[in-house]
Amino acid sequence: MGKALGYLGKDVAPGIIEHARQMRVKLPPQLDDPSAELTPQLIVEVIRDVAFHYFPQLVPGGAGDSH
Amino acid sequence: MPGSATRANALDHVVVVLFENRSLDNVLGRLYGPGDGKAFEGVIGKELSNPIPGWAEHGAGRKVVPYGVTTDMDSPNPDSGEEWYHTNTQLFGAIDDHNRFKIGEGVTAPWNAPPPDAVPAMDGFVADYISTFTGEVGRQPAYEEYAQIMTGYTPQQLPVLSGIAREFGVFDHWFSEVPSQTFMNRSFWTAATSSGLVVNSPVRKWFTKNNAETIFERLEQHGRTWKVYVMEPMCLSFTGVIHYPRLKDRLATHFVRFSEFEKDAAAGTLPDFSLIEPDMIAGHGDYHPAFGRSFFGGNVDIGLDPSSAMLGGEAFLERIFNAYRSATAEPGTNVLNTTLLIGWDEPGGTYDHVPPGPVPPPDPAAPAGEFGFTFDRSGYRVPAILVSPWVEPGSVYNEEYRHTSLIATLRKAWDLGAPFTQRDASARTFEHVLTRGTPRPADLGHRRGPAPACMGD
Repeated sequence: MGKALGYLGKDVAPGIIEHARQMRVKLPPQLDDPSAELTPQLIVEVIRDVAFHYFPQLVPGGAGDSH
Repeated sequence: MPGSATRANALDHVVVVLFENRSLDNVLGRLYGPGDGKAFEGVIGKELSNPIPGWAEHGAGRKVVPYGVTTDMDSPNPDSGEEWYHTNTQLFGAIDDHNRFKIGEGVTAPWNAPPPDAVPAMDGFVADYISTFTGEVGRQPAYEEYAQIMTGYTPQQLPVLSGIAREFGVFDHWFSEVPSQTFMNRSFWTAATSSGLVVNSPVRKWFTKNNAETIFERLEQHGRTWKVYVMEPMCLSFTGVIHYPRLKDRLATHFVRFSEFEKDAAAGTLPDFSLIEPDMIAGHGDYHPAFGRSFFGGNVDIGLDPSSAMLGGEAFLERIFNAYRSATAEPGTNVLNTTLLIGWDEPGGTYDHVPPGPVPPPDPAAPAGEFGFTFDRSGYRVPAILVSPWVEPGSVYNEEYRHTSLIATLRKAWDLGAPFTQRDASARTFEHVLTRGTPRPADLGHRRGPAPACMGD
């Protein structure tokens, strides 16, 4: 994970994923697959998928782009 | 240019953007020199240096590192330490023997804390950088590698930031509120406290432990509107995470993409209060120091990231400024009735020569926070620039301001009620710097050259 994200991202990513688990947010299956290869690009995409659950208007092409 | 507003309308709407991890010396220290005829607390004409600790394996015979100009748009690289225990070393020069070369959770009590009533000498930046570098990279840095912590940028290297600073007003004694990291300082910007939290990690604590009232809720109580605009493609808002216990029901409604700011500015529909977050995760537009490439072999960059967060910050600031200066709708929000404040959260371990002073704890009755810190001294200086047609070009404000000066000013200008904490109760307001009797032209006189190519990359 540290290879893909800036310092703040490295702080934030585990925290928001942990909170998402507690909130029973559906997470990408790769997070539970110890054999999955987490490439930098994949990690960024995973974080986005989780974060957009909290901030739906930040999704590209979503509600935030319709104004 | 919209013509109906007067100076009394200058703070009808407020826009704040908060960038990342730079001291005033680091990015604006050479904005003005003695020949400019201004009282400005920068670095030009001063003999500034930091001692090299005797335990340094390389270059200790030189005794000191003098302050100089950076040659790399990604400096400092690797990033400098910024947690409370690193800042202790940077400000007071002391590092516990058992904490030398330790980082993160490896640092233990007493966390390099200074003795009571110690006065910061601003002489531990080199020692902390050598220690942090060694902890991160696994070897001690060469002199040339650690000397970069004693460098800063020139106006020519940062033409957007410096150009705007010269065209409007710069605060040369704006202090961060907590001698530590991003989350606490951002929380003070918007709540005048961090609820006793002193470091970012673990981030899960922010989902439950920061229950302080926010400026956003106070605005709503007084019938005022707000939005948090987030630079694309950042996928979340740190403000939303930091204040999750108070704002969780607003994350889906008040946190939008920055492109909406551009639309709102053009349409004259900005809210009363706008907070802009640069991308701080992947696709940096935040002026943050190097964000990790140097720690890993091979090419681990992702396509989103600029070659340096400095250049990404310059590009994003230009985008913000262009949206602001183009806001001429009437009726509605426009440059005459909207003030832009460009600020930073924390200095991030980059060198600054002005020692921070004592400040009142947010809640004197509260128990000590993490690490036993009682929040009785502030962090050190960061850049802050006020942009408005009602600001005289080339202004420099020498009085002490802090992050909570924003809340104090909004409370006063918008009659928002009692102080949030003792910290904003004691902060100086800045509404009085909007001094012009007539506004400046619509283009605000902004002239600059293109941002430079990444140097040393």
